[in-house]
Amino acid sequence: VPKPWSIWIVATVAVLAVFSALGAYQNAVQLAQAPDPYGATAAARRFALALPKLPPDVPLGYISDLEIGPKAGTAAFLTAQYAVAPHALIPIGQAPAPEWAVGNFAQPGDYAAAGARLGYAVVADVGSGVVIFRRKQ
Amino acid sequence: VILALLAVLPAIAIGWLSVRLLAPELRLIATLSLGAGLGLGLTSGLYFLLLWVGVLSRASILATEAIFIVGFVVLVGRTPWSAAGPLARPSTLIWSLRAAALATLTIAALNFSESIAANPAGDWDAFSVWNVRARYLAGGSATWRNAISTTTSSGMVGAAHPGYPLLVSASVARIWSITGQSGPDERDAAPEVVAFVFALATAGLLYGLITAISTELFGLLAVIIISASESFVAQSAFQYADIPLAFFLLACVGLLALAERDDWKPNLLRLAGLVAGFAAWTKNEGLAFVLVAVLVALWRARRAALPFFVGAVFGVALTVVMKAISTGREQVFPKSFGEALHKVADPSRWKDILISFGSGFGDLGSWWAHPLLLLAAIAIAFGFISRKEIDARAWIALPIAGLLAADIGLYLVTEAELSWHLSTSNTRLVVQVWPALLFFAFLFLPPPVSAPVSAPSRQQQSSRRKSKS
Repeated sequence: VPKPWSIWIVATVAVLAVFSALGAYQNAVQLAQAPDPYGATAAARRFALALPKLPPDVPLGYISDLEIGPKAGTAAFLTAQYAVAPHALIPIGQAPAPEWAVGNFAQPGDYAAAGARLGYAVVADVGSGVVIFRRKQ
Repeated sequence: VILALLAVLPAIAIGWLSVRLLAPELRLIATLSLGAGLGLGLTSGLYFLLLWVGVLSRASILATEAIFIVGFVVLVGRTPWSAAGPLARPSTLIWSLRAAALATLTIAALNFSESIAANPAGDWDAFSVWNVRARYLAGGSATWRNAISTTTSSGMVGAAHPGYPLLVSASVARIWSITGQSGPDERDAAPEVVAFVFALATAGLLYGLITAISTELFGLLAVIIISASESFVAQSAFQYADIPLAFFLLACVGLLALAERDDWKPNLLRLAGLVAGFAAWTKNEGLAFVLVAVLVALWRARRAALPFFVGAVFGVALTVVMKAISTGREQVFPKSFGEALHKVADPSRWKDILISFGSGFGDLGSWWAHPLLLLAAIAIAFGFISRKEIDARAWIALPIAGLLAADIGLYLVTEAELSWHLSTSNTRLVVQVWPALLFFAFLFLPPPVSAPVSAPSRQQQSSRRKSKS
C-alpha cells in the first residue's frame, strides 16, 4: 500500500494535471476566437459553387492573382487544392495546360484578361473570386 | 459525425477481434484501444489494395471487411477463453484516480472539440498533405494516383510528399468511400473521427499496457499525465499522422515488453510486429522505427523473434509497394553523400537540433504542471526498481532511441532550411515518442504492493503448477 506521503504526492499530481488540462482547454478556446486561420473552410465554401459546373475528376489548371511562394499565395493555392480535390490542381505553366482551369482571386479585377494571358476563356464567374476557365481552342 | 463513427465500427471490430485472437489475456480497455488502431491500420491496408487492383467501391470495402469479421469471429469462437483475472479490489485511491483520469480525458476531449470546431479542415499539413491525399484516394480509380504523384501541391517543399505512407489518408478515404461524403463539405467528419479515435486509443492503450505489466495505479497516472500534455492534445486536433504514429510506437514497445514477460509468446510478438509494420505504413519515421525494432527483437528473442518479422510484413510491404508506384522524391533528402557529410560536420546544426528537441519537450505543458515534472514527482513518491531490473528493462527504449537518432540524422542532412524544418516538425516528433516514453518511465517504478514487480505470466504460473504436481 502506498505510504501516506506518497498518496499526497499522487493527489497533488492529479490536481495539477486537471488544472493543466483546463489551462490547455482555455488556450484552445482563445485560439478558437480566430477560426479557420488558413482559410481552408472558406475556400471549401467558395469553390463549392464551381464544382458542379466542372467535368468530374479532370485535372484543373490554377490561375490566381496571388503568387505561389509567399505565404498568402501558398495558403491560397493549398486551400484551393483541398477544396477542389479529387481534381488535381496544377499551376498553369508547370505541366501541359489542362483543358479546364479555376481562378482563385483575392482582388476584384479583369478575370477574363487574366485568363486570356494564359490562353483561357471565362466559362463562369461563380463569385467570391472563383472563376471557371476553359482553354481556348 | 454519426455516419463517420458508424463507418469506423467495422474497422474497430476487425481490430478488436484480431487482438482477442492473438492476445486474449489483455483486458477490455487494452483490447479495445489496441483493436481500434490496429483495425484502422488493417482496413486502410485493405482499402489501398482494393484501390490498387482497381476494384474499390463501397460494396467491395464492406464485403471484404465482412469476410474478415466473420473469419475472425469463427477463429475467436474456437479459441479457448483466457481472459485476465479480475483486478484487485479498487481502493479509495484508485477510485479517486479513475475520477481524475476521467476528468482530464473529458477536458482533453473538450479541447479537441473546440479546436476542431474552429478549424474543421485541420492544421496546415492536414489540408495540404494528409486530407487532400485522402480526397484523391476517395475519388477512386480516376484520381487516386494524384495522392502519390509529384504534381500534388505543385511540388512544393513541405507540402508535396508523394512517398508519404498512406495509413491516415486511406483511413479517412475509407470512411468517405463508405459514407459517400468525399466532396469539399466542411461538415465532413471523417478526418476528425480518425484523429479522435487514435488519440483516445493511445490514452486507453497506455492505461491498458501499464496496468497489464505493472499496476492500475500507474496506468491511471499515465493517462492523467498524457491527457494533461498540452502538445499531445493540441496535435490530436491537427489531424496529422503523428498521433497515429505515436499509437503504433507505444503499441509495439508495450507488446514487446509483454512478450518478453511471457517468455516471447509468439502471438504477442506477431501482434507487436503487426503494429510495427503499421508504424511504417503511417509515416516515414516508422520505417526507421520498424528497422530498429526488428534488430532489437532479434537481439532479445533470437530465433523466437520470427513471428515479429511475420507480423511486420503486411505494413512494410504496403509501404514498399506504395513507394514503388509513387512518382517523385522527397525534397528534404540531400542530393549527394558529400553534401550530407558536409552538413553533418557542422556543429551549429547539432546545437540547433538539440536546442529544438529541448524546446519540444518543454512545449509538452505549462511549467508549473509540466508532464516531466509530474513524472518526477511520481518517481519521488514511489522510488525506482532495483538497478538489476532497470538493466533488464532498458532495452525496451532502444526502438524509440533509434527513431530519435534517425530524426536527428534527417535534421542534420535536410535540404530544407534547418530552422524552418525544426520549427515546423520538432514538436510533433516529441509528441510521437511521448506515449512510449511515458510507458517506459512507468516500467521503472516499483508497484506499491508486496507482489513481485512483474506478475508471473499465465504460462509461468501453469508451468509452476505442473512442476509442483
